Amino acid sequence: MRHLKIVFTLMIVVVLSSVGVFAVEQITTPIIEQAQFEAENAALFEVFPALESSDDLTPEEGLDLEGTTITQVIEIDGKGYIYTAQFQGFQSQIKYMIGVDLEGTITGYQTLEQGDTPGYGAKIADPLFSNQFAGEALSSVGAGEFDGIAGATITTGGFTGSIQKLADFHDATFAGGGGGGEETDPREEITSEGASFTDVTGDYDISGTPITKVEMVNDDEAVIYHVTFEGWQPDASYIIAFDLETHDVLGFRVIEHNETTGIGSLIAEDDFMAQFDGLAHNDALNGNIDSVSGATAPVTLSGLRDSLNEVTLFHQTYFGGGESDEEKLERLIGETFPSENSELREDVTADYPANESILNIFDIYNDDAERIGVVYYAEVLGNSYGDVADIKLLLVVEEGSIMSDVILFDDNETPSIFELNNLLNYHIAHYLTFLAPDEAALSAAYPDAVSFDSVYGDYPYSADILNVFEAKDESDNVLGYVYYAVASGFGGDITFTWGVDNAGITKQLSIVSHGESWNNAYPYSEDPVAGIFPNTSWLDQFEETDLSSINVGDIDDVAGVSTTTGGMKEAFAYIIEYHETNVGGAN
Amino acid sequence: MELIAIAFGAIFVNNVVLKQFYGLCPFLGVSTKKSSALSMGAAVTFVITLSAIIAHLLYTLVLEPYDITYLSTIVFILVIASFVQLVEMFIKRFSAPLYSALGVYLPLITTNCAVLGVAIDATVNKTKIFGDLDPTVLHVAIYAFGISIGYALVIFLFSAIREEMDAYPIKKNWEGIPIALITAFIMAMIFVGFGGIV
Amino acid sequence: MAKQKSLKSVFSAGLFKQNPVFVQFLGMCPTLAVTGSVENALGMGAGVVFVLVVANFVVSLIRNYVPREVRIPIYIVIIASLVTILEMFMKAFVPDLAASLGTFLSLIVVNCLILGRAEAFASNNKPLSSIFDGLGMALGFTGGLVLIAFFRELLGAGTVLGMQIIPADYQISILVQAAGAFLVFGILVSQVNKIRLARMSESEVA
Repeated sequence: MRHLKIVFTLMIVVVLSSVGVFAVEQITTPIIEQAQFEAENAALFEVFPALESSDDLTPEEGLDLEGTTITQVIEIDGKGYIYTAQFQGFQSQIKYMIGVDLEGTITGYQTLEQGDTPGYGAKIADPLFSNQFAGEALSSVGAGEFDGIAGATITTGGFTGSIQKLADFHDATFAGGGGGGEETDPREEITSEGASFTDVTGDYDISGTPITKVEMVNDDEAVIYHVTFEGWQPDASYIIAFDLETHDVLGFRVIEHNETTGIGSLIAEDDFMAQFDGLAHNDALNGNIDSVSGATAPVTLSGLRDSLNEVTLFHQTYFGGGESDEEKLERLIGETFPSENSELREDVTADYPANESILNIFDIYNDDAERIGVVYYAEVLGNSYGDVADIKLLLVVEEGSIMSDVILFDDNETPSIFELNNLLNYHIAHYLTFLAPDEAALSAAYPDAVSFDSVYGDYPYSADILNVFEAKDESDNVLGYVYYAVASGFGGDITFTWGVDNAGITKQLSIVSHGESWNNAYPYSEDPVAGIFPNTSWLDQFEETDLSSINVGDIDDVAGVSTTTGGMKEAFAYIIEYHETNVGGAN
Repeated sequence: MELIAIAFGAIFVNNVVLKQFYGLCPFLGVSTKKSSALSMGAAVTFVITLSAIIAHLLYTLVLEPYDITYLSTIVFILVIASFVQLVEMFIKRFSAPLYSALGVYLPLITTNCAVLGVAIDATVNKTKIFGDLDPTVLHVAIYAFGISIGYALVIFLFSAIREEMDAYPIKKNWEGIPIALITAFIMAMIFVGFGGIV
Repeated sequence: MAKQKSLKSVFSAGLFKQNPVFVQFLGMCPTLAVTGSVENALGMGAGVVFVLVVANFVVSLIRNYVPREVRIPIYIVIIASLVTILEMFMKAFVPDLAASLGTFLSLIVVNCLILGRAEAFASNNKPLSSIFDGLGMALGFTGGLVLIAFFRELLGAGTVLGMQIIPADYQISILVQAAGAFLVFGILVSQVNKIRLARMSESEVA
C-alpha cells in the first residue's frame, strides 16, 4: 500500500505540474515567438534602414561560410546585404549584425549579443562603437580603419579579424559579381579605368525618380546614375553614364536583376549592354534600344525604356542635353519628308485662323515646288485627366490623303483622341486637301456634267465619304452632285463615284479602285460579262433610280460575294442618308 | 585544437565558480579542508560530466525533435537529482569519513547550480558556449569535464588557502564567509588574466 | 520556541534575523551573478518571490499527503514547474530582463533557498504562515540582492537603475565584473557581521 501511495502521489504531482506548465506554455509561446521575431527584425531595420517589410529576409543558402565567422547572410534584392557574424571576444561569444549596400557601403552596425567585461569589451555594444560604421566602406573597415575599444584589445582584435574576413567574403561573393578575385568596378567599365567617383546624390532631388544615386565622374566629365526599375520582376537595377559634354550615353551595366533566364535576362548580356556605348541622348530618351540575342522580353524592355526615359529627362533637367523643341521639330519634319533642302518648308500659320492647340502650320514642297503635304505642330492635352500636361506632336498630312501620321515628341505620352479629332476637323475645315479621283471617274458618275468642284468643306466630314463634288454644266449651273466614297470589300477598300442630280435621281456608279474577285459570283449570274466586277448587273439596280426609293435593306447580297455586296450596300445606305440629311436637304 | 580551446576556456577563462558563479554554496561551505575539497571536486566532476552528456542526448534526441524544449529545466533537474542520489549512495557506501566530511552539502549537490547550470548552458544556451558550432556529445563532454576540472581546481586551491589562513588571526566580523569572499575576489582577479590567452 | 510563531515574526525573520543572503548564505550563485545591476537584482528578486511564495504554499498544502521517501523529488518537480512557468512568462513579457538573467533564471530551481524553505518550513507549517515565510525570505533575499547590486552598479558603472550618477572617469569597473561581486559581497557581509556581533554582545551584557 505504501508503495502504491508513493507512486500515486508522484503521478498526481507530475500530472498537475505538467498541466500547469503546459497551460502556461500555450499562452506564452506565441508571445515569445512574436517578441523574438520583432527583436530580430528590429535589428535588421537598425542596420539596414532602407529595408521594407515587403523585402525578402530569407537567409541565403548554399554559401560557403567556412572560416568567415559569418553565421547568416541575407541578400535584399536590389538593396544590399545583411550579415550576421559571431566571434570570440574576451570572455564571450560576440554576435553582431552589419548591413552593406550594393556599393559596399556599410548601412549600419549593431552588436546583438555580448557578455564581455562591462566597461571594457562590453563597450562593443555602446553607440559610440556601433555608430561609427554607417556610411563607411566595408572594405576600409575590413582593412582595420575604425576606432577600437580602448583597453579591450582582445575584443577589438576579435572584431577586427571577424570584420576583415567578412569584408573579404563580401568582396569575393557579391561585390565582384561572383567570380572572386579582382573584378573591375562596373562604373569604371562604362567610363574610364581609374576614374574617380563623387557621390553627389544629396545635391539633386531624386524623389519620385527611379534614381537611387548620382555620382560625378572625374569631377565633371560624366555623370553616373544608379537606377532601379521593374521589369518582369521587381528590383532590377543598373548604372548608366552620360557624357557631360555631348549628353550621350557612355555606357550601361545591369547591376542586379531577377528576370527570367533566357528572356528578361538578356538585359544583362554583354551584347545588349554594348549598344549603350555611345547611344545618342535622344535614343536613350525615347528608349530606342534593341532586344538582341534573339530573345524577346517586351515587359522587361518596356520597363527599362520607361526608366531610361525618366533618367534621361532627369539628366536634361539638371545637366541639359537633348535637343530643343525647334531642333526636334526640324528633325522630325526632315525625317517625315526627307529632303536636303529645308527651304522647302513654308510656315503658313499666319494664313489660317488661330487655334489654341496649333502652334505652327507648315506647307511642305518638293523640288518641283509642288506641295506634298502639310504639318501641324500642335500641343494637345493628354489622354487622361491625370495627363493634363501639354503633349507636343506633329500631325502630318500628305497631299492627297486625310491624315498620314501623328508624331509625338515624347513617345511615352498619349494624346487625347478628342484633341486629335479637333485637329483633324481644323484641317478639314481650313485646309482643303480632300481626295479627288480622276476627272474621268467623276464624268463616269455624271456624264452630263462638264466640270466638278469639291464642296465637301461645306458639309460634315465623314471617313466613309472621301469627297463631294458639285457637277456643273458649261454655264456653271449645278446639275447635281458626285460622291467619291469608300466601301469595305472582301479584297480591301473599294472606292467609287456616284452621281445624283438635284432631283435626287441617281446617275451612274463608277468603281474607281477595288481589289475584288467578283467572278466567284459568276455561276449564279446569267450574264457572263456582267459577272465581271465592276460591270455587274447587280450594281445596275442603283443607277437611274430615285435615291429616296432605294431601300438598301430589301436588296439581297449576291451569294458568293456577300462580303463585297454587303460592304457596298452599307456604303450606299450611308451616302443616301448623308445626301438626304446634308446635301439634298440643303436644296 | 577546437577541443583544446573548449577545455581551456572551460577550466580557466569561464571558470565555473569565479566567473560564472555556479556552485558557490559548496564552494564556500565545503572548501575549508583540502581533503574534503578534493572529494567534493571528484563527486562534482562525475555528476557534472555525466549529467551534461545525458542532458545533451535528451535535448537533441527528445526535447528538440518533439519541440518541447521548454520542459528542459524540469527534465534536467530530475535527471540530475537521480544522479546525485546515485553518487550519494556511492560515497556513503564506500567512504564513511568522506560522507561525514561533506555533511549537509552532499544532498544539496542536487541544488548545486553548477550541475544544472552546465547542463542548461550546454544545451538550451549552447550558442553562448559553443558559438555557431553545433556541439556533438564529444564537445559537450569535453566542455563539462573542463568545467568540472575548473571547479575542482578552484575548490582545491581555495581550501588550501583557507587552511593556511586558519593559522592567522582575523578580525571577528571578517571570519568565515567574508574573508573567504575576499579571497575568492583575489582569485577571480587572477583568473580574469586567463581571458587574455584565448 | 512556540509551536506556532506569529505571522509577523515569521515574516520578519526572513527579512532580517535570518536573512538568506547575509546570514544564511543561501542561494549565493545568483547573489553574486545577477547583482551587476539593480534592475537585474530586482528582476531576480521578483522571480524568487513568485517561486518561493507559490512553492511554499503548494508544499504546505500537500504536506500531509506526501510520503516522506519521495518528498524531495516532489518538491523539485513542483519548484521546477514553477520556474518553467516563470521563465516562460518572463520571456514573453520582459524578454530583455529574461535575457540578461540568462541561465540564472532556470537556476532558481536549484536555489538552495527555495528547496531549503520548502523542506525546513513549509513541510511543517500551515499554508498561510508558509506564504508569509516565503514572502519574508524572498523579500529578504531581494533586499540583499538589491543592496549588493546598488553598490556594484553605483561604484562600478556609475549608475543606479540605468541613471548616470558617477562620471565615467571615477568608476571602479572591476566591481561590475565577476570578481568585484566577491569583493562587494565580502565587505557587506563583514559589516553585517559587525552589527550582529555588536547586537549579540549587547544582549549578552543585558
